[in-house]
Amino acid sequence: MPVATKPPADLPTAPVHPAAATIKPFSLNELKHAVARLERAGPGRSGLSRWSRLQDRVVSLGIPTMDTHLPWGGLPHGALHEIAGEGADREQGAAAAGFAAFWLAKLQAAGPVLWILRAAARASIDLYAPGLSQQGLSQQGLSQQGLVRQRLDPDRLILVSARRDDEALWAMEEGLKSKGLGAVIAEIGRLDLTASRRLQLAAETSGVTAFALRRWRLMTEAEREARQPVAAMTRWRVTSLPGGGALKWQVRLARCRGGRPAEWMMEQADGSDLLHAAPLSGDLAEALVDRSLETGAAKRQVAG
Amino acid sequence: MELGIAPGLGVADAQALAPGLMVEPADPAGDAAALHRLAEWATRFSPLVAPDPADGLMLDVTGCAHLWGGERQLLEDALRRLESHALSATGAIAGTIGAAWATARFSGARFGTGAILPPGSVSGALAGLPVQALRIDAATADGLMRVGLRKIGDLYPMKRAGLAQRFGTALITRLDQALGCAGETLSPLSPPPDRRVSLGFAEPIATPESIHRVAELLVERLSRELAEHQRGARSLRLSAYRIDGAVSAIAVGTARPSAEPRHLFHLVAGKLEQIDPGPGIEFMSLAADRTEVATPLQSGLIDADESAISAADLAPLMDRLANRLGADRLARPMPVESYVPERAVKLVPPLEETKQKPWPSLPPRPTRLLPNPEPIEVMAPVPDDPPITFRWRRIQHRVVWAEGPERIAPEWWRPAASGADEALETRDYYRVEDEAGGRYWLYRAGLYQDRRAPRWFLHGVFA
Repeated sequence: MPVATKPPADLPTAPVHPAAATIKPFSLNELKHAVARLERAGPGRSGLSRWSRLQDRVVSLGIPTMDTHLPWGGLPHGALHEIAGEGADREQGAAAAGFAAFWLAKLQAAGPVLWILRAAARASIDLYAPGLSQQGLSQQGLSQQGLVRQRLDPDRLILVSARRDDEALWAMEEGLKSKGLGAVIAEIGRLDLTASRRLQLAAETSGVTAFALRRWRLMTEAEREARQPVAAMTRWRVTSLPGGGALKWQVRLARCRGGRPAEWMMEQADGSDLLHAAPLSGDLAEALVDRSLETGAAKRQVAG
Repeated sequence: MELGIAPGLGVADAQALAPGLMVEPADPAGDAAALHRLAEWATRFSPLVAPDPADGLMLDVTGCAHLWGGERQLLEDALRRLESHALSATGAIAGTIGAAWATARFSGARFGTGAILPPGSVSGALAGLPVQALRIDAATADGLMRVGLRKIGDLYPMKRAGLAQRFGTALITRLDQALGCAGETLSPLSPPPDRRVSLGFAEPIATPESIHRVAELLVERLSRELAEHQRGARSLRLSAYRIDGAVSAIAVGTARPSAEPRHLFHLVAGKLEQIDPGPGIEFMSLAADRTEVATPLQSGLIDADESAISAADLAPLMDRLANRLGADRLARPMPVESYVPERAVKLVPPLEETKQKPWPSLPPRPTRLLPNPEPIEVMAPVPDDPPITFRWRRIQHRVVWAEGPERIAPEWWRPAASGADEALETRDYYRVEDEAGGRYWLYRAGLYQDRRAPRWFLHGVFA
């Protein structure tokens, strides 16, 4: 479907298949709405305006190769995104949480982050704030003071312990319905299509960004759950790579609505605070994609 | 009673007087519990109810009677309802606790009837009652009878000093309390709520929809009252009085004083299903047990502390989460000045206003810290070196990179917990990376000692 894969920014002026244009003069508008509805994968009220609003609200990671690959120039706010480690949680779960922290650090500007943990009680919380606060990355100076640190601020983090997945999903939906949060992230084992649709709709309605951080105890569970369809805007898989002690990940965009899957190697340059990402797969054109999107993203950051 | 059966009579004698008399063992605890339940039931008439062991209830109906159309109607309604629960009772309303007690028990009223002593009539009404009606112990009463003081009225002309000397000051106190010369207060079942609204129904209700609707009405009325007095509720109690006499209640709390009807109703609605209507509910009340002055929240012109969590926006969400999951499941991390990693974070209530302390700048710390460090099997060439391989949760990891040690010494100023406290041992932390790219935080517990294999633990996983 060529129309569907276009970046949505082009939607209003997108060239429509000649056949569609010649049938009826007013079918173009209908088609746009239909496409927008399809893209949203939900019953639409004002699909198109919703899209254009999403366009204004994008969080970019500040790594051009990754941001420009995403059809929105970053991750859209008010949507559900899934992040998981590749494999069982005990080894790869920390990398997935770390990757999530990068996005959350950016989203904290809008409000505190609600982190719903899988923990029976406070005493069994394994998320470690001092470690988490070291996650995040610096960006080449937008202000003239050089590097701007953007790290997760534990003071703007609210932890909720959920004993079961249903509690976590309920708490997540409540968080997404409320105002004043920058993002909601929940550690979830089982997530089906219906539950993820509810979350996606709740996120769309409130504009709060949602992350499902998948945690699987067993390898078999990981394999089964990773194959399940989820109504998320993007699905990410993060794996630690040997990096001589420094942060180094293989980041795979397994699914991206309206975009193509891709894979990067993300690492922290030795001794510096800067992160780089190099595409591991996909064609070269992806890496050298039109720079206008990137500058657009940069402008937004200046404005923000 | 007509047969002469009275407390204190032997069982055999009683059965001789009334053949076929049913005998039940006395159950003081059960009676007390039943009386307590009855007192709860009676909170429908007034929030101030005190059980009066072993067989009485005392209600402070000051300012409540108008809801029933007058004291007479209130008393009749109460007695009728008690009768419908198969309880024989008499009642009295009077200006003092002592007078009401005496009149209800000693005026000879038949069950199901009651008396009301209008103001000013107390001393006259009590004059004809026996001295036992003064809530005095049996010995004092006997003593009074012996000297011919049988009625309360007989005491009026007596010299107080003489009475006190002969029978103790308790008698004088009781007399003064009954006549209103000395103060007396009830010690109610539960402290009176700051605000309370209630609604009675002509027909008992039982459907979830109608309970929902009534709760909505009550919340609306309570919030209006709260708003008028510029107060906000910190805790709410919704009580449903059932026709079988039971009371089903739910309680919710708020993180900050609130009079916002939508917020309060949302909290109550989340627990409405816990109300058990049983055979039907005839009366419902919503009480704000605790209220505080509600200062309208305002995010100041100059944001004093940018990193603080905006309580105004988040309070409703925090309340919903806390009321469903429990307040102990919500937290915000706070730095603590401690070198021991697991002590460096304290969890505080999310909206608690605390002084923001800066997070200390530390060497690399893991993203996930295991709540309990897990013992690992390690192969290390030299005791002071990081391991070459380690086995964690049955999987062998070969170390390809390591950094350390970072020595974390025990905090000697902390008193030792009972037994061997692991946190009191010196730890040497290493950051290691295995072949697969996993980055772990290991430590060796205790200082190196001869003839003792060092113990190793895995404490965290880096991103």
